[in-house]
Amino acid sequence: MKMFKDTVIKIYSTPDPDSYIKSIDADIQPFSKSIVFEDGYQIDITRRLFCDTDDSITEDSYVEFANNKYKVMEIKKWDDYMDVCLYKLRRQV
Amino acid sequence: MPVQIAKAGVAMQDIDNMINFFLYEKGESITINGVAEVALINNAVDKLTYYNDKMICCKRQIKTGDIVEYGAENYLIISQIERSEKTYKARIRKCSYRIAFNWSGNIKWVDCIEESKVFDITSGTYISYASGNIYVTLQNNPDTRNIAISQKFYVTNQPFKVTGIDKSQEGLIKFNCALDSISTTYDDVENNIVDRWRYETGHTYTLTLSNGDTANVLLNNIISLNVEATDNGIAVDNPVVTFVSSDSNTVSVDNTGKVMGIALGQAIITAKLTYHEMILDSITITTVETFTHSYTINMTGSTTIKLGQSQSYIAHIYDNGSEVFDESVVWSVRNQDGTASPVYASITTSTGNSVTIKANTSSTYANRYIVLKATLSDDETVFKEFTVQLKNLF
Repeated sequence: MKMFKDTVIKIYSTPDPDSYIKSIDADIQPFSKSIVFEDGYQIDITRRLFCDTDDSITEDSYVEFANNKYKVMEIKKWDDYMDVCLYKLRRQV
Repeated sequence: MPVQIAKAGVAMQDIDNMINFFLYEKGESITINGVAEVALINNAVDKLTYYNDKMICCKRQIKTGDIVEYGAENYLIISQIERSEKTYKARIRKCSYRIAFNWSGNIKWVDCIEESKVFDITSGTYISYASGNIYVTLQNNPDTRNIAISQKFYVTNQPFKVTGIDKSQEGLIKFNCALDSISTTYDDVENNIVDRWRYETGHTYTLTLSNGDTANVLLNNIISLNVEATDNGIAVDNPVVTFVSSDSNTVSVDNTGKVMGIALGQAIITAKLTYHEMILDSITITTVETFTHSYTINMTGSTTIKLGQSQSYIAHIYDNGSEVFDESVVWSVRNQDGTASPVYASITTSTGNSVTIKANTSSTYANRYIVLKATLSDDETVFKEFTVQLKNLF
């Protein structure tokens, strides 16, 4: 798939900066979707990340770009790329 | 690649697998039985109800009856625990009162939910308790297990006694309680502590600056203030006192009561018992360039004397706040009620600045007062009067 790899993202295993794993090039696009969890929690997806398949990104991962941290909420793995839904953290620590 | 904004369907998901993320992002700081924890707290129902129960979800194991402190309020876990792979969930209800239970002077405060009506599960309606009866739910712990039938406690300045105990729900103890009578002798009604004065003594503190009401201090010199404190009439050793000057640019004072003249002028020095700030005394200090004598007299001795018995009193003479020993006083005693005869007490001996007086033996004079007066020998305008009450022997 052709995509812009015009954004460098940092991948973390937790929100803690010390958990940095590595950086990759990716394509970030605006997106709008809500995921409803039990007990009424709603998580709004505002960004969608496209990148080459990379095992460093899991549904437990966090990514950072443009000085903002995001939580990986959903991953769709295709043959040669990944489609990742991102939630912008309220706590940007 | 073109920009796409997609709308997708809504699907309900379990938070168990993402609990770390939810606790980080949405978690709130709480304590569970006093131990700090982060948990998800939600309203248990959509619409506001009187109890406004909440749901707690956390990674730490919780039990029915645990006390959760959240938002400066205490809550009690009232439901059973729903356990998932990584989380524990339960319903919590705000504790409406803290109740003091008194076990022979050992007072324990316990958070409770107090209700005057209960939910009947068979009829599905609330049943109001008879007037004067309440229903109290507490954490089941070693203290609350000691609460017995007929044990008394206070809620909102009303006394209740336990009439029934229900321990059928694990983690909780429930009491049926009925209105009881107030013991004005022993109960501290204002603070909702039953039987408090059966085991505790009320404290009456006094604080006196024995340097008199006024004193002078030389510019750039120091004088010491003498503090006497009593607790229920008994002298307190090394009382903890705070000193404050109304104008520290004129007269300064340190925390040991040493006063220094900083600039010509006057200031009021106030001494307070540090832990009982309403107990205080003050003295006016004047900073002067040269001393003129300024005498004051302070008297020590008992404020009561038993009929037919003797008591001794001592006059302390101060010149500008410092005790001096080269002056003397003249003693006299009179009836406080103005009667001249018979005298309720008389001076038996007088040596230097001490005096011994003896109370009349007649029980007629019990509870009457005499006034003991010490007048400076060199200046009759300087004197101190001390009131003493006559008491029965028994």
